[in-house]
Amino acid sequence: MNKSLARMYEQFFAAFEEQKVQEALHLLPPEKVIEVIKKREDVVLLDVRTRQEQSIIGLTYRDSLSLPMNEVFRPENLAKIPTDKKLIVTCQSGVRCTVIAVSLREIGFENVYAMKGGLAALMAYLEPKTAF
Amino acid sequence: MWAKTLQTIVATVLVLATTTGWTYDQELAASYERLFEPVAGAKAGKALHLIKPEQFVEDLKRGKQFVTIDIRTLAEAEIFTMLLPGSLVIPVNELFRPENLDRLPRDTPIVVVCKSGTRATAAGTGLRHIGFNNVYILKGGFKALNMYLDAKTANLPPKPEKPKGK
Repeated sequence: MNKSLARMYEQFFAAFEEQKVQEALHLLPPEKVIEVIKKREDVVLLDVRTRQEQSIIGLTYRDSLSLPMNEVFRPENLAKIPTDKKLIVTCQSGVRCTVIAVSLREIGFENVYAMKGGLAALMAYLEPKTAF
Repeated sequence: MWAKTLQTIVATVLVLATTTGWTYDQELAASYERLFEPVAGAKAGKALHLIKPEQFVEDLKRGKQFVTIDIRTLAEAEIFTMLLPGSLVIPVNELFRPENLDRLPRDTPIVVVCKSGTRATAAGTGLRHIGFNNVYILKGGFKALNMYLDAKTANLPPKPEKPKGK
């Protein structure tokens, strides 16, 4: 076992007390994501689904990145991730993006959030009324 | 053409004369009757030209060409939309403008997409009503497509095609 890594995770998950999990995991529910976008805050969306998935449905938000999960941690791709603005990671259902967001934070990217419930939750929330 | 119009006028006048004055558009009603005639029984969905996400994705994987139209509002489409080559974004309130109808292909199947399939069903049925027979409606919209479309279904090779008639 890698003890120093284990300690890192221990520290990270120590914040996961009841009622604080969403905050500690940096989960942003869709309504918060849309709110941030509507306020024109400087935010980048990152889609980590496979290329095949993204070739059918994909992000059109003006400031978005597309990096399949298995390519995110390549140095040349990490170089594309902004450090001066909020990054919101998304995927199909919120699983892959949560893992990626946590891992990015572990290596030092602080302003990284995961879209709670992923595109599925976003799609359930986004309609003419909420989008406008 | 004139005989038909005259016939309609006579029929309309007759109906007007014999009722309280209100009448519906009988010619249009007849066209809806024809349009919905096959929408019955277990095949109702198919007759409405609904395409399920699974069928849509399998067809795409087999190389079938579709032109999708995302008919949601621009504010919705500015977050995510269909990214297939040639896909269109035309909000439903602009879809039936002549210049937009001119953009729709006649030789490629069209798939109308919205959030959950409701708007698309209305708009797609309208397109078929005016003569676009190659129009299909994505059942369940983006929500259902995204539910189906995951790393596995998007990346596995297409399933063997079922023999016709089964």
